[in-house]
Amino acid sequence: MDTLIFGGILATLLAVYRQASRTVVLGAWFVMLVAVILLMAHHITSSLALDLSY
Amino acid sequence: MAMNSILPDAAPIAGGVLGRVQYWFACFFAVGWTGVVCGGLYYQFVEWEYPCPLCIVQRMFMLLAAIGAGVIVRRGMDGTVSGRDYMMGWGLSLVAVMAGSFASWRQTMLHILPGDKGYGSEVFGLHLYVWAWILFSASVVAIGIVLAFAHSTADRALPPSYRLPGQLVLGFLGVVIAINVVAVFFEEGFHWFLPDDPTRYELLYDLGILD
Repeated sequence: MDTLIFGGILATLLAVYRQASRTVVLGAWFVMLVAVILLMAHHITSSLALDLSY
Repeated sequence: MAMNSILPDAAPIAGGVLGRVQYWFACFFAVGWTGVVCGGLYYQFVEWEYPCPLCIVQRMFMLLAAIGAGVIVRRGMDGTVSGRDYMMGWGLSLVAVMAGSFASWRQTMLHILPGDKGYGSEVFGLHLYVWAWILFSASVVAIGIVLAFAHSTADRALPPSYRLPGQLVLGFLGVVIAINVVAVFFEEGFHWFLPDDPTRYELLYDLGILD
């Protein structure tokens, strides 16, 4: 998954460089953002267990 | 008041001496975050440390932030950056650094308890993910300042000589992203996810090069 996301980020940069339409650039960028957030959520598997009282 | 007079594109085409500050700050922002990712690559390949999954996630947010500024850099290469372009670029960067700030905060909190040695090396007394948290947070402030002074720092017309620096900035960013594609492919191999505590380059074992 990480490899695919980095590939997608590279493709997003290419879309920026090649002056793709604003819709394409925004679409690609936010798809990548959501993918990274989901990847992060996958790796957050437990609470922090800091014993915070608030 | 006419509606178009309050839209960003109604700003002067070329302002005063500070009119090109935002373009150069966008270059600095993109190069800066790309450089931070290069620091991670240094610890990966020179100090021979294996980046953990959250480290990789933070690199992704850093590169997405750099691409946001890259939108402004790319438009500037053609000599015209509209108010929409400035806002789109900084808006993307702001979202990315906020998300990155959460990721680095989370990793910092994992190692905050007394006696925890943390993950990986320290730089000037702080672990890499703590520095990442500081830099992500500082970037939020920087973008806020940039936007606050946009009326006098965001020229719409830029000279043709700005094309070369723009190409260098985006080329640097592209090369570093490409290096990360290869580096993480070696670390992850033919698996969907990285292990929580990586200890080897899986691809070499998947291909049978190492046992």
